[in-house]
Amino acid sequence: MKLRDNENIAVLGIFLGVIGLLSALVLALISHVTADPIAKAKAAQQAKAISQVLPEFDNKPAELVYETKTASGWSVKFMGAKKEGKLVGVAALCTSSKGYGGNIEMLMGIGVDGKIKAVLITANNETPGLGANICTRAFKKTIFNITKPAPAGLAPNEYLDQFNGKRAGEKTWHVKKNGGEFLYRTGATITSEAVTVLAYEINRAFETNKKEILSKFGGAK
Amino acid sequence: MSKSMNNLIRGIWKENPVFVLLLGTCPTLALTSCATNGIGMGLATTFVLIGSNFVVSCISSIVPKKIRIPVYIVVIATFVTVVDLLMQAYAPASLYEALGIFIPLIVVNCIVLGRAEAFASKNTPIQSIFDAIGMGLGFTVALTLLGSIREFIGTGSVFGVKIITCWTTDFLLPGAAPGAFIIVGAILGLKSYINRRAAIKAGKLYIPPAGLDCRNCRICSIEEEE
Repeated sequence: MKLRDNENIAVLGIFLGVIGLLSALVLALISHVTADPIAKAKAAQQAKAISQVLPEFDNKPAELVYETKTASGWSVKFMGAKKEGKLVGVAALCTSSKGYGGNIEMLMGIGVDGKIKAVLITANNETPGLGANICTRAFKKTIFNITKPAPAGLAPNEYLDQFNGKRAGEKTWHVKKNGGEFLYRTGATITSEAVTVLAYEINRAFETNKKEILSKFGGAK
Repeated sequence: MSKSMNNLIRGIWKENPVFVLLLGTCPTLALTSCATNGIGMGLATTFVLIGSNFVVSCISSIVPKKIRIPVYIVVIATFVTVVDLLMQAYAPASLYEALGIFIPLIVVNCIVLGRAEAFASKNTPIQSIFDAIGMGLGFTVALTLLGSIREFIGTGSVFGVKIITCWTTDFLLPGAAPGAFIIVGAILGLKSYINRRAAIKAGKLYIPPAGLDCRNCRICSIEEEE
């Protein structure tokens, strides 16, 4: 009897098992081969993002790490950026679970003085056209400048740029609607508030752990 | 050759997966909020479709009929994961950034399974590849068209380029799922109208597709054998 018309349950079970095993083997092989290049590609991507929020550096920030928790219990990773052995800034990576569509991951560049240099949202799942506009930095292309190359540096975003040069104090930051001082977008208050609070918590975590971070990174005066 | 050509081009208009077969409505509605997303999802699907159609038509003669669907699903899922891993590892970062989020979604895209069952399992590997390219192109064209229309009505831009520069406030309906339904409906109606006009001009009686059906796909009626 041909395999194609076989209806014996044991044969069918074995056939499915063999197919499953073969796919598992193929996947294991590919996953093993690609593990290294994937890790490298991810590291390169993160290094590129860090270089956008901090001044020029020449070390590998991903290897100089201090991890702690923010006031809300989100784990935050500080990475030190050095130039010629001198600490020029700290990049902080943290994920908030308070977004409208789930998690929002923020990368913040902090100067040695504790002031925010720039903020970048590296992952979000907010509503396209509404909440997502708060999280994305993109140069506006129009038919009049289509051939011009995008200018260097970060594209402006009024919701993210408002944190620049600020330092977290005792009081939590809020958007104007919730009694704070920060801008928000109508219809996307939850996203605005999540980004504002996340920025505060990261910067606050840096303030409270400043001594340990700076001594670990060798930036203490 | 004419058979191959026929397999290649019929996916674009006559049996367009989105506008005629009405397959893959989930990614169609969810991902086409802008033209770039549409073309990205279309190309990623085309790539997976070519691979899965080829593999399925190669193994279809030895797969027992009773368990063909689970076997095809495992093969497609494996292929998609392999493509995902290889792209993460070796593709330029910008390409993976643009296409990466769509790749895992292809596993649950019924166009891939539908073509495996309705075409690849009954035809030669070469013809299956032609069918995959045609269907993939049809899907890409449909998604890009839909994405462009939605993006233009929503924000006044196409492919991220503002066409109407004084348009500053986004119009949210076309970007959301209800707007997508409305626009897909309008395109379906327009396509039906064009087909009907063509039939009347040619002096023929216009017969609409027999209840916008699933054509040759028999996934839902595995138990009934012909």
